[in-house]
Amino acid sequence: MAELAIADLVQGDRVHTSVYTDAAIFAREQERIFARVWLYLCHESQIPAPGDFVAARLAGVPVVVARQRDGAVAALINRCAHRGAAVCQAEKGTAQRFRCPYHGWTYGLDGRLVGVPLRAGYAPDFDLAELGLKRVARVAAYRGFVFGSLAAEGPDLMAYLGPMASAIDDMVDRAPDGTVEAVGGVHKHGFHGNWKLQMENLQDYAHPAFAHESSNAAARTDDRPRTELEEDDIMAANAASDFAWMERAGTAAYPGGHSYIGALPLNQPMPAAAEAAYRQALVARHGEARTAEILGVQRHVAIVYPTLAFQSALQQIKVIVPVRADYTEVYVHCFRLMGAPPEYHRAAVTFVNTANAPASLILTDDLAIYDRAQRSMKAAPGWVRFACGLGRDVPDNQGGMKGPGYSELAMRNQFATWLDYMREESGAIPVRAAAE
Amino acid sequence: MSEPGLVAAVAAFLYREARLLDERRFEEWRDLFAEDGVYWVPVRAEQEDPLHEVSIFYDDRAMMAARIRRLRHPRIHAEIPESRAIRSVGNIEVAPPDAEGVVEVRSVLQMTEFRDGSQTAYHGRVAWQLLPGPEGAFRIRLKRVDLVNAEGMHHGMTVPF
Repeated sequence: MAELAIADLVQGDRVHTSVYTDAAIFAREQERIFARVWLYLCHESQIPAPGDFVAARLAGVPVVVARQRDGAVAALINRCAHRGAAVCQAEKGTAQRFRCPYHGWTYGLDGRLVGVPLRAGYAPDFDLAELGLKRVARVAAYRGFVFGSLAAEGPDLMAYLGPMASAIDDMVDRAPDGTVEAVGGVHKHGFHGNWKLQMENLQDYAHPAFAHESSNAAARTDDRPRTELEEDDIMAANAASDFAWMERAGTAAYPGGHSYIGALPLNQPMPAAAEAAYRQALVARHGEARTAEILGVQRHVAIVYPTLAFQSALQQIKVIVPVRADYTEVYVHCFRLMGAPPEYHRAAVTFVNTANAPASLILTDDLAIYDRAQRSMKAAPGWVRFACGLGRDVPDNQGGMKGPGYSELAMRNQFATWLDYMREESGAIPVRAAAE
Repeated sequence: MSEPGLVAAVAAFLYREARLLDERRFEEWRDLFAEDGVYWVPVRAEQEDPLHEVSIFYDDRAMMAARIRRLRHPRIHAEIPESRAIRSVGNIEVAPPDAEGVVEVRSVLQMTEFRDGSQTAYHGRVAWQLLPGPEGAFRIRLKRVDLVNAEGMHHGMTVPF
């Protein structure tokens, strides 16, 4: 047992395994990273009317996001001021107020304490005004996507998103009506590994040829005409991502830990009439030039650090919820482009199912690999490496760096950001540091 | 077929279907489905629409074939070592055939799976639409499995229930 300072856990192209396995480091992440950043809460379409609410978690804290009577969105911490019970048990719903199931303390949609039973039992100066549900310090939305931050201070949402606000634009701009709705359902899956394993994987083009070899091989390779996106197209796209293609697809990484990788070679066949109607609707709204620009954005996955991923062209987001150092939950939401023909929504559903259902022909291999990586790193501590593409990164035109698609640039960027958050006021903490 | 005869035939068919999966005879299992047959595991109770809302499984025969080709691949990492599962079928209720001969069946399913060193229990209610098939057997038009924890947090699933 030796001690490594936080600052020593990330060294150039190598990272110590304790960042994945150590419970004390996880606790520090909750405090230093998750309690400070902007995290995704929900989409406004989930809570259209006053009283509508959905549950979410911020840095492990249970939160209820509720539409207020004036149309604003508030995020309340789901813990009764009286004796600590959760005041709201539902994942979503509509309420006029939240009444604690334990002793009946009752709160308004804005979290104000409006009723306490047995008032005669309390001192005359017992002040309800001070005892509301705590509110998430800051809530802000960009184009319907609602974020919260437990920190009262810090960059505002747009400054935080920086160039990666474009991930939201990339989805919403594709909607002929200019809006998207979270109506395509949610997949939920957990794995016995650290959240960072998932975030790395989302920017990793070097893995599909190996991790997803069985899906690539199982995809049909016939050239029969397609009229709709099929599962095999998605499986085969991974197989088509060879070295030369990855080189061209590229990756880019930005301050704050954000990044994206270029699009997969995924052909998205559509019935001709639907495609024409879609394009026409976009042109009517934006004109030819802007439509070509919108449809020309070529990204597969964009990451808003630390735990949000957009697959905008296929109307999917992934919300990663770190639970423990060795357990992570993932929520995959499917959105609908409002104003687009129904075929577009069906293609999005097909994509989300194929790539991210619990029974997905792709995801399941990743989950098995995360579980095993976690077990191996716990049992055999040491260093892991992110050296691919090192030295080949060049500045891009938005203040970031870019490299070939197979580069581990995005992971290096994630860890550089991780260290920035984690080492501030850092002292040494005990971690298992085996000599290698 | 008389009602007791029909119920017995349906039960025998459901047991055989479960055993084909238990024995990993996936190709023979797929052959039980009609050409337009569907295997569906909804993502929530009372889900009505598999096309505009995501599903845990929503397989036509082509997708079943892809899934099976993958299960036969030597480097399907989630199935190394190969999983083992036992399915129990019970509470079989059979409605009289409709005018087209379609038999609606309800049953419950328990599947216990051993994979990657862990044992997992799955429970579900199954709704079947069975078409009359050769030699008194059936072909499956729909097998819908409503897991008791459909809305819950899942780990990876590699084989059909």
